[in-house]
Amino acid sequence: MLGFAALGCGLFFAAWFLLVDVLGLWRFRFLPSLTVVITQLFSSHPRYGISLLTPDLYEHAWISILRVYVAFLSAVLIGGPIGILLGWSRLLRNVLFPVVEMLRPIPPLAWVPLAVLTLSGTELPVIFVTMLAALFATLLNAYLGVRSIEEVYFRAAACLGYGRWQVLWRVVVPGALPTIFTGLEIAMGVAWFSLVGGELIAGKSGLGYLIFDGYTQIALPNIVIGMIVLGVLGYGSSTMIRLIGGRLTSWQGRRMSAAL
Amino acid sequence: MRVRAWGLAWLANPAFWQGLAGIAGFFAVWALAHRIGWLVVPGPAEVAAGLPRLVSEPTYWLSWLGSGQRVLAGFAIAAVLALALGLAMGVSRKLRLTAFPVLEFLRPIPPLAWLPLSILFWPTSETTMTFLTFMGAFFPILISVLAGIDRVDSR
Repeated sequence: MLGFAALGCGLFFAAWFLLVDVLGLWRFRFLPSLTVVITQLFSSHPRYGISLLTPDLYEHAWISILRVYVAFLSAVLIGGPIGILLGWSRLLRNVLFPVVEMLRPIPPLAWVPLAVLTLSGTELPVIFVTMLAALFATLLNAYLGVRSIEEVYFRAAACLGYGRWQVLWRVVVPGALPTIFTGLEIAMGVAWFSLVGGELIAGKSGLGYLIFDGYTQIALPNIVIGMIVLGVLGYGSSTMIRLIGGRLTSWQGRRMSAAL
Repeated sequence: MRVRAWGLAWLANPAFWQGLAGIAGFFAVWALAHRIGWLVVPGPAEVAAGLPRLVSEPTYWLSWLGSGQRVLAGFAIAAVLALALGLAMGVSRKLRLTAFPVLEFLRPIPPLAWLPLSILFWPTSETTMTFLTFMGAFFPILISVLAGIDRVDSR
């Protein structure tokens, strides 16, 4: 298993080294070279000011992390309850769902100009754009989660004499939780994706800014370093949510396996 | 009955009117926010007034065409490559074990983060834009193909 993984990574880096460093064929010679990227990555005095050993990299990363988590948490706090309410109340669904479906197909990045014009400062527009896609992902999955609850549970709750709010807390919310966590995972992914866009256009710091700054300043290794850090942070965030979700909805797995 | 006979049953459906009220409410909030100065961007009335001039410009329709072509090209290339790679990884366990870690490493990198490298690499802005569209579509398709293969019953 590990052997194949090492082989895959080895082939990837060998191809990079061969195409860019050694041969420099066609337009590959314009790309950052593997040896330069690696030496810069671990250098204590990097030529372009960014390496794993400089505080600057961690400052950019920390700002991006803060933005993503603020945006993600707002998306969850707004989108989760609205999605659950939309699934729970038919009137709300009929009134609000068309509006949601009207706004949802607009790509988050298309909101950047409006966000920059409307919201003050540099932080709010970036966080708003980062939040948007995550908001729709949580909202839609919370809604779908409620809709996917089997009718039986509602009838059982009615037999037990549950009131409307008890149904919401004891049936709707726990029943929707597995789908909600799928939504949160998607939301975290799209939050990182849109963050980069927001930072490229509107930011003055953060990993997205670092990457584009590396381009404008012709500090090519910084582009790759920024991409690596973004990948690692994005992967870590998704894994974290999967672990939390797995723990909170472990009863679901048990029920499934019991049904099998 | 008569309403249904005319194929206008949706007019009798309260859900239609409720949805219409929702959308009307959205535009009302937008107009109000513009009126009281919360939004510096134009209100719905100004946008509607600007539409005729915009649609009479050929560049407006050319942008439809350009974006449509890029999305189609990026998506088509991504679909073909992701399907081919996904199927190959489904057939060969060795290929899957070899390629999967690299792909898992590349997948969480946001498509837009490829922008600088793709400007450097691709000769024209058109190919750069198509490549970014491709990057956005490739991994979701590949993951779905792999998941689909895993769901095939081993019997």
